[in-house]
Amino acid sequence: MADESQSKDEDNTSNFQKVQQTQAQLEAIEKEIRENQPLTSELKPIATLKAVYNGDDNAKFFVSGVDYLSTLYQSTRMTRGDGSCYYRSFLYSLSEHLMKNEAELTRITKYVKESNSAVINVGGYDEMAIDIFYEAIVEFFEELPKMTPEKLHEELTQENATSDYCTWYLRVLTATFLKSDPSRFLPYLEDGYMDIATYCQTQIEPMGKECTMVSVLALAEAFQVRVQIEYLDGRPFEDKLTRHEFGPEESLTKLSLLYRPGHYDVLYATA
Amino acid sequence: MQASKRLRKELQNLERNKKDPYIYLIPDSENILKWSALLRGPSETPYESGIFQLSIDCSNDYPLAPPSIQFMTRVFHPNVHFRTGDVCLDILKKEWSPAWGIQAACRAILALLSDPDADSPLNCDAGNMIRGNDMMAYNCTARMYTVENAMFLTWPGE
Repeated sequence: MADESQSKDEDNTSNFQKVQQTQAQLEAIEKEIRENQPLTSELKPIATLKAVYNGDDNAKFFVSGVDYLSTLYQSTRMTRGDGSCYYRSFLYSLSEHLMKNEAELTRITKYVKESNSAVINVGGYDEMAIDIFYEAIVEFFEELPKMTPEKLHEELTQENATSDYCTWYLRVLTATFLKSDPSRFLPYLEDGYMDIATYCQTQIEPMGKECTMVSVLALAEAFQVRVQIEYLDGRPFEDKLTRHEFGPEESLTKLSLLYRPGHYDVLYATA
Repeated sequence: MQASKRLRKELQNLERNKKDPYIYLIPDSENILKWSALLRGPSETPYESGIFQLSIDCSNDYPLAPPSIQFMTRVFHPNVHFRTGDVCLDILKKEWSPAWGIQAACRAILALLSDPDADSPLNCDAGNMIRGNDMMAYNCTARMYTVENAMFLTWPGE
């Protein structure tokens, strides 16, 4: 009896130590990512994607997938793998498109400017909680027409600044869109989520949480833009990679993004 | 700076709204990033009628990053470090989002006092008592520390 309780104690202690070790390892990985990956990279040739897989015999479909991508796209822009990669890729790609299309810029700036009442009334967010983020994204879109590509890159690569502030507001817009039509989105949620509000609180609002399919869909529809995603996931394919498209087909703004398992980057079509 | 701007808003909201009978919050007079909180121990828990002081530190990337919160009053609870006062609570780590604020974070800590989570213990002794289903031991020990440590502060205005 005494032995049993002692071994249970040891189990508890070692579990506790394991939890602490895992926590420490996770923190070390996060730190390394912060130090080595910019929020968003400079443009890189598509072939750069191959470097990761060179010499790996198991990565045959990744390598041939990159070959396929290079027939359609000339470059990629990589985002930091910190859980916000989808939102950062979306924001960067959207900004670049809007700099080239005044009508769309006007439409989207108007949508963002008028979004605060839905965010408060439908999303249920406190004005105090959202206002610095709302102000940051409105200011960002208003400044866009005056920005050079270099300035845009500087804005969106700076730590604890525009990219983070806009990213959180994009999360809030995603959540608000889901909350605007719960019966439609409820069946899409991963197992174990019984209501949209809890899902938003635990899976969308926290900065480190990765964007899931339902959020990709919601964000595209909220902005009324077309998002096409190429899936470079290593699965066998014949002549084309899988591509999924979200948002209205007729939208004048079409964003191209790349999915690799657990991560999103921006793609640039060959002119 | 966004952190101070947001915290000044939180302060304005606190001053404007009805006082929370369980949470008293006050920022440092020199530095809005540092706050002190008093929590009233929830009734029908071993912390009842105790007054617990917390220290709250916000970094420059608040509210993107969570505040760091510690108990200054010693407390016996599975999710509070017995020596340092650190709190183990998901919303102060991975689940934090700017939708929370200092008052909401304090509310979550109050909820944690009422509803300890023995599966992620910072205080293994307290965690083991609850996991071993020895609620009497847990309640008595937690009560003893409440009486010894948390009965000396007075609630402002009382």
